[in-house]
Amino acid sequence: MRVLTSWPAACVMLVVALAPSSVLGQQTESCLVVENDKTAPVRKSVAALASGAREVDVKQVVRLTSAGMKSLGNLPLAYVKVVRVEPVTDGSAQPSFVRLFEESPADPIGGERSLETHFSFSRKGDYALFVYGAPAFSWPLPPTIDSGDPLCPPTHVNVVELTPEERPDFPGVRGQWWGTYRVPTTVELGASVFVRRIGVAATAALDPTHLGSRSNPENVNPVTAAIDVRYRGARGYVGGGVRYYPDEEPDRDQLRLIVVAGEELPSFKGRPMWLLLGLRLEQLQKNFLSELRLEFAFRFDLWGSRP
Amino acid sequence: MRTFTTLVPVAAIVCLGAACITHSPVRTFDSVNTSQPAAACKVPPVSSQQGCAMDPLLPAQVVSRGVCTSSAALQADSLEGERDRLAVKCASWERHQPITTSSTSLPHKGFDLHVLEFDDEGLPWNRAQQAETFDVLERQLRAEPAVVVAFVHGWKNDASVCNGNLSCFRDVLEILAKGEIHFARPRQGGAATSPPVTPRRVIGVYIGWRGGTVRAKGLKQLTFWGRKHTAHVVGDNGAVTAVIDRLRTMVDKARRLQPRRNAFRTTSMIFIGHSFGAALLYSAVATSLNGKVGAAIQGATGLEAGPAAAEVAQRSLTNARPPVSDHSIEVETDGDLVILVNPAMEASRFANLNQTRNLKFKETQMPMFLTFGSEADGAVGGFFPLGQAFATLARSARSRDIWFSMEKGFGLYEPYHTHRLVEKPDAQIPQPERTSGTCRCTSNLAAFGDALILRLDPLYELLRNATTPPPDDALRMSGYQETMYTRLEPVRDVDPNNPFIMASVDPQVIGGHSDIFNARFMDFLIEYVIKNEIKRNKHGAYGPGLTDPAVRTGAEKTL
Repeated sequence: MRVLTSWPAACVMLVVALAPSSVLGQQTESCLVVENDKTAPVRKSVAALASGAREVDVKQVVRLTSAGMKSLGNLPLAYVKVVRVEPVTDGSAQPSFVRLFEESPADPIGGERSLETHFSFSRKGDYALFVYGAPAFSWPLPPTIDSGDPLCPPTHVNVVELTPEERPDFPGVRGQWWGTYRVPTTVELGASVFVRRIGVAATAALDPTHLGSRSNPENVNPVTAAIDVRYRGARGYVGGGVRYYPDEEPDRDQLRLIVVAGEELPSFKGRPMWLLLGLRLEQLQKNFLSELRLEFAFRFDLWGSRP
Repeated sequence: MRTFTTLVPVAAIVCLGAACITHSPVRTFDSVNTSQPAAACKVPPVSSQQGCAMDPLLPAQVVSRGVCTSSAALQADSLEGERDRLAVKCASWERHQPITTSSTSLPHKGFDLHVLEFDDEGLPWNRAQQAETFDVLERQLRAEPAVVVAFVHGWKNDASVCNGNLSCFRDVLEILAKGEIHFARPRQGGAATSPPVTPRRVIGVYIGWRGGTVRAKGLKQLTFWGRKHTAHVVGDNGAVTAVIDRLRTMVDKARRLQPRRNAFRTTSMIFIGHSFGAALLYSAVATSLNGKVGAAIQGATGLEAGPAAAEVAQRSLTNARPPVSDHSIEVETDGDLVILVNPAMEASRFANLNQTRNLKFKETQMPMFLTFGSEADGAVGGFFPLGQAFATLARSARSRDIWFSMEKGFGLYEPYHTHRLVEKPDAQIPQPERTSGTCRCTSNLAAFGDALILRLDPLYELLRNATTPPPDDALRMSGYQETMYTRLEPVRDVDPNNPFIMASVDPQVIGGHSDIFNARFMDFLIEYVIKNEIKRNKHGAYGPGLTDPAVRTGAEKTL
């Protein structure tokens, strides 16, 4: 991300006002808007958030509105100072925190550019956000924004802390779809629907090495399908189901039992990744241990998935 | 195919097994199995012992324990260079020759580099040699003020003479030594000329362990679990903790003899760990840090009462978020920084210290513990969680957040982040550069060193011309700060005097797991340490300055 060093103020038209400002007794358009970052968890059913409050420890985007951009004039640098108003600190000044605005990514629809920065509120209470401008970086002197005047009236933010019941790990109904690479030569597409912790998944797998002439006895079951039921835990999921093999094979069942387990890895570019382990029973029989096959795969969740 | 799949695991087992059998030090000899260094160590170095400027008070036998060398001598591809490297390999104390005025380089008065090596159980390979090192260090610290930097290397590295980390560490020490000379010279400031300041001695302590056991490419990755475990064992078993405590004690004693009127005249100490070396360092200091934080919280009146009591209670019930307090506390510290860069360990190890995030600290609180995790660190960001996924198979987690803290890297777990270190948009910022050659630092830090020092002139001028100490709000070390190339910003409302900084780092500042020795990040560290020293000097974090001769005599008797 590159910091904007100069820009024509008139070109910015993003107008989103979240909280009213009433400093000096005037009702003016807010310079800032504060909203959840795209990585924030969804909490649709919580009344406190419906009133526009922000949640503790959830990453927020602080963005300059068009009024904020106009107030900057030709100043190339803009800072936001976050002051904790409530709870009141005894015996010393209220704590304040400074961040520099950076150029936000272009709006894919309007093409407008704005300035934004990220911030998380760690405490429930009330905060006031002030915008300051500066002609240049301050090194080696410390920044002088504390002694200057803010460019516009403060924006007020109320921060609430939800109870564990209000912010469960896996709320509501969620859907996922994904692509999987299964060692050594299989690729897979899958989808699942979870209601809280219980889910149902369906997958279709393709092994391209088994494509080709059907007269070759090696070329059986290039495409298979599976369905399973899953339980979502903190680390990932475990479940069981069946995999269907359309072509008959000697000493193999067409419907084979499977046990699946997935472990969630850190997301890549915002998309969850998974390490998958599976057990497949080739044929249901008394001496089943010799019929077990271990599977190992990586799963990449596709757009719109909610783990 | 079947042959291949059989051969690969067999080759891996043979190579890893060989690595375990050939368990030996690289910079000293194993005093358990041998009583003498190797015969090759009898060859004298080419460099003259007289070339090194040593304190004349040091006894001759102490001086003779070191090898006099220089970066240029170690980097020479000639036969002489080979002999120098061999001589250095046999010694744990490198005395680097001074550079006098030169047209191509800023001068410095030399620096010292001590190497301490530990085996896989965390025991010194050679206790006698370690004792000698402490003897030398103690004498040096008593003789003159010093800047002491201890570095713990990471995975795939060790203490061999031309190891990449060690070569870069030499460059860092040389830059610091040049800086001491450059900023100590008399200057024209307004109408008067400021008097010269005696430059401090720069001393490096390189803590070596078996971070690399296999040299074969591809197989190195398989040592992940073994080396991670070893790093924690070495850190846990107490010998490294003892070294750190000993160093701190020696530095503290030396400091008490020094006047504290000038921050640049007092001895300074910094511990830096990288990758698994950061894991090792953290294991060595975590118990002490947790104890100090616990004592500070316990000692703070009203933490469990007053307006925040309900919030504390609720947070305790949920176990999800750190407690909050509006009562200022101060965690005991002598101002020595512990800095972890791209640490390769799980974030959950910081879970207890994370409770400091919402606490309030006094203005006099000195910073203690800094972590910097590059957002471009593929090793910790990508490979490490995969390793953890297997390593923690038998462990459960209470929530999805806690699971992520178990598998994500220490500096890359967003809920623990307090700051972000970002590059400034400035065309003057040196761009990454790579170099190669014998005993050279691949990030070519030495090439930027002189320019870095010259560019820092305005900061030093400002500090030297200041007639009074800076106000407290300029020394809030966890507040917003701008340095020459970077800015440090809080990403949440963490107290501006919080002694714990957990920062994610812009890829422009640290471009990858091993890109820690670059001019942008080094400048940030140098500036941060300068401010830290000014703050320590202002608040007397190490006790009253012993300028009175009578008090000084009494203090000397205690040494």
